Amino acid sequence: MLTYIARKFLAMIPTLIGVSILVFVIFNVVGDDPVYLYLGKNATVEDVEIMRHSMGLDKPLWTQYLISMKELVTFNLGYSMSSKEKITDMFLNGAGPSIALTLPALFLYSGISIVLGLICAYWRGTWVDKMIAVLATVGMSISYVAVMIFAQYFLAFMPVEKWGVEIFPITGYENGFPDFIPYILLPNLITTFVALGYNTRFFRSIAVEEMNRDYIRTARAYGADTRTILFKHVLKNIMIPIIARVVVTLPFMITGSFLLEQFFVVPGLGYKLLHAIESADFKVVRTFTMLIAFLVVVTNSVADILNSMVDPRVKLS
Amino acid sequence: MSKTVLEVENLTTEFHVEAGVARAVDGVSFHLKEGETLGLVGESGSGKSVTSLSLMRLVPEPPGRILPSSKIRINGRDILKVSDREMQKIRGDEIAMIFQDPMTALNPVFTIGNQLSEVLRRHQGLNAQSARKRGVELLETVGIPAPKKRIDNYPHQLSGGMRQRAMIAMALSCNPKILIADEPTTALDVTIQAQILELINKLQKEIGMATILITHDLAVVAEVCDRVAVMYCGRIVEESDIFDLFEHPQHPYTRGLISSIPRIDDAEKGRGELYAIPGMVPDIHSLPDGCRFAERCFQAEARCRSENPVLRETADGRSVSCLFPLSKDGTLR
Repeated sequence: MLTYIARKFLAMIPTLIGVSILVFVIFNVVGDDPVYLYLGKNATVEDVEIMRHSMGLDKPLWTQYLISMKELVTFNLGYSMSSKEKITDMFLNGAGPSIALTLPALFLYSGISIVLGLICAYWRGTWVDKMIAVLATVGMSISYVAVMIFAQYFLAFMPVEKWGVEIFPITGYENGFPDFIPYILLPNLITTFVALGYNTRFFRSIAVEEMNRDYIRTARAYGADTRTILFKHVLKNIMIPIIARVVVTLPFMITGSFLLEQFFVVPGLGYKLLHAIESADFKVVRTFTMLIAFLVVVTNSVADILNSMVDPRVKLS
Repeated sequence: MSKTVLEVENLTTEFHVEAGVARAVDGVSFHLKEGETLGLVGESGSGKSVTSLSLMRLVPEPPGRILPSSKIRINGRDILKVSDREMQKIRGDEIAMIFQDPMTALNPVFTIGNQLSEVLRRHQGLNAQSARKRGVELLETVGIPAPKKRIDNYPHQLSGGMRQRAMIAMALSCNPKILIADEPTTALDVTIQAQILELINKLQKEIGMATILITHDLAVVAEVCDRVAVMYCGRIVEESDIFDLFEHPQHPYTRGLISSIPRIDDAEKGRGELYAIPGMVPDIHSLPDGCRFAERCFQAEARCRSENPVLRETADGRSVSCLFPLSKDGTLR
C-alpha cells in the first residue's frame, strides 16, 4: 500500500512538469507582451526596457522557465505587478477565506445528497422518490446568481433593514477563529442549496444502478434490513464515483468561488484572481493557473489512492 | 410420513409495466416435505425464477405484486401476512437461497468472511469472533481448501466454483429448513456442476432441509430430484415423481422437453435430428385463451383453444393440466 502511494506520487512528477511547461508556453509565448499590457500606450522605449529587465523578461525563455520553476518549488513567488504584494502572501491570506467559504458546503451538500440519493434509490418509484426528484429539479433550475441575490437580500439585508435583527452579515470577512464564522454561514448555505439538486440526482442515478445488482438481492435474501443494504452494501460500492465527484471539485473549491467572493466581498483567492485579471497582472494570473493545474493533478492522484482503499479490485500495480 | 415444510397455494405474481399487466406466475400450487428435493423445470420466462423470488418475498414492488389470494406457508405460517421486519428474520434463517451467477451474487467489495459473518451475527446473534470461527467451519464443510486463508479473500480472488461453494456456505449458515437453488450450476463448468450438485445433495441429507431446485436442465433434475414440477407460461403443467416423469410424461410439453435431450445412443439407434418443440413461447402480454401450449402441441384440438385445462390429479398420485394427457405408450389416452 505504501509503495503504491509512493509510486502514485512519483508518477505525478512528469505530469506536473508537463503542465508547468504548457502553462508557461501559453502565457509567455502565445500571450500578449505583459510589459506593453502593463505600461500602456504612452510608455517610452526606455520605460519598456527597464520594465522588461526588472521582470527578467529579457533573459532567454528557458532561463525564465527555470526561474519560475524555482520560485514555485521554493514557494517564493515574487511580487504582484499591480499591488506590489508578495504573491506568496496573497496565496496564504486568500486560501483561508476561500476554503472556509466553500469547503463546509462541499461536505454538507455531498453528505445530504448521498443520503437523499440512497433513499430515492431504495424507494424508487414511490412518492418519496418522486417528491425528492421534483424538489431537486426545482433546485437545479434556479440560477446560482439569483439564489445569491435573493439570499443576500432576504436573509441578510431585509432582517436588518425591516426588523433591526442581524441574522447574517451582508458582506465582509474577518480573519481568525471564531470571528470568521458568521461571515461564511450564508455563502455556504447558498452553495449547498444550489449544489444539492444536481448532486442528489447524480447520486440517485448511481445508487439506482447499484440497487439492481445481484449482490443486493443476495443481501436481501439473507435478511439484511434497509440500513445495512444502503449504508453497507450500496454505499461502499458507490464510493468510487462519490470520491471522483467530490475530489474533482476540491481544487475549484480551494481556489474559491469567484461569484460568491465578489458578492460577499470576501478577500479569497477568487476575489484576488479577478482583480489580477482586471489589472493585467500577468505574473499573478500565471501563478494561479499553474497552482490550480497542480491541485487538479494532486487531487486526482489522491482520488486514485482512496479508490484503491475502498475497492479491492483496483489493482495496486 | 414426513412433515410438510412449505405449502404454496394459488401463488399469482404480476408485474405492472408500461405494456400492461404481465402475470409471470399464475395460480401456482405445490408443497414440499422435509428433506425432499423438488425440481422446478421450465424454459426461460416460464415463471420459475419469479416463483422462487415470490417465496422469499423478494419480487421488487413496484412493479411486481403478489396477489392477496396467494398463500405461502412455511411450517404453517403464511409469510405473505407477516411484516417486513418479520420477513427479514425469516430470510436467510428459515429459508435460504443460492443464486445462478456466483460471479455477481456476492458483494465484490467485502470479504467472504465479512458477508458470512453478517448473516451469522444477524440470525444467530454471534459476536465477531465466534462468527468468524463458524465461518471457517462452514467454508470447510462446503469443501473450500485452506478456509482460514480463504475467509479473508474477496470474491474476485476465488474461482466460480469456489464462489458458489461460499454462497452455499452462506445458505447453510443458519441451518434453514428450506433451500431454494435458482439454477445453481448454470454459470459453472460441467465438471464443477456435478461437484456442486453433489455437495448440495450431501449437505441436504445431513441437515435434512427441503430443497427447491430451479433449472431448465432436465439432466440435472434427473440426477438429484425426488419430484418435479414442470412450468409453462407461469403455470405448473405437470407434477410427478421423478421416475414416472421420465418413464411416461403425461403432458405433451413434458414429453417435448424429454425428447429434446440429446442421448449418447442417438446415432446408434438411428435417431436423426434432435427433436425441438415447434413454435415459440407466447408473449406474456397476450396469452392465448385455453391451453397455453395449444399452439405448439402436436395433438391440440379445437377444445384446447377454448377450454382452460386445470391441474388435476391423475390416478397414480400425479398431476397434469391437459385435457388429453398422454398414456404410457405416448398416444392419446
